[in-house]
Amino acid sequence: MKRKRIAAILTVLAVAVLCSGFSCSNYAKAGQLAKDFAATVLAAQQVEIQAHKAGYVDDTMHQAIQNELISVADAGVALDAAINKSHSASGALQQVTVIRQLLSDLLNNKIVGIKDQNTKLAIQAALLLCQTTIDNIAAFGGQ
Amino acid sequence: MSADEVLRLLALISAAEPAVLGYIKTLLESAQGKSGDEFLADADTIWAEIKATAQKEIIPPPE
Repeated sequence: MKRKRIAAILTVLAVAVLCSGFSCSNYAKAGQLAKDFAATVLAAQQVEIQAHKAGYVDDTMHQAIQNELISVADAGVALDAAINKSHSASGALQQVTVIRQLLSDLLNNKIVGIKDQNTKLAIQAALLLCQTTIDNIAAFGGQ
Repeated sequence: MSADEVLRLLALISAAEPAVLGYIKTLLESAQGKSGDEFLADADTIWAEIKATAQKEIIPPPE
């Protein structure tokens, strides 16, 4: 009887330790992906700024893109808060949806007017990298 | 793609070099063991930097 109780307690403890281990590991992984995403957006922003400085992106388009990046940054902060606050997927996935829409708008509307094809390709590639990173967060959150 | 086009593309990328290097550094740092809180704090710092830069870019320079 005593053995059975000890075995039951050990089982519960083992499950608790395993669960907390997975939880911590998942939290760290989610945080890592969130940081990678922010860094990817930063790199994309710098590519666009340099393209503007070089004269390949006009002022109006540049300001529209930077404005949208502010929205992406706001959504990014909200994403971090959702991951931090709940350690769960649902709140984070809502922000992922918002970010996906913003990136899609940048790719399909904001940068289509760039006349220089190489510049457009460079900015497109940087934004596609952002999309891939946010898709990784979505895939991770959906696990 | 002509040599001229490749050179222009390279110039664009090299001009953004500090950010690209920072990006690579971030990815390498991510491979190190940090806690979720530390990663998220780093992410928030980067978002603040993105916002500050974007706001600076939007405001026209004083004449």
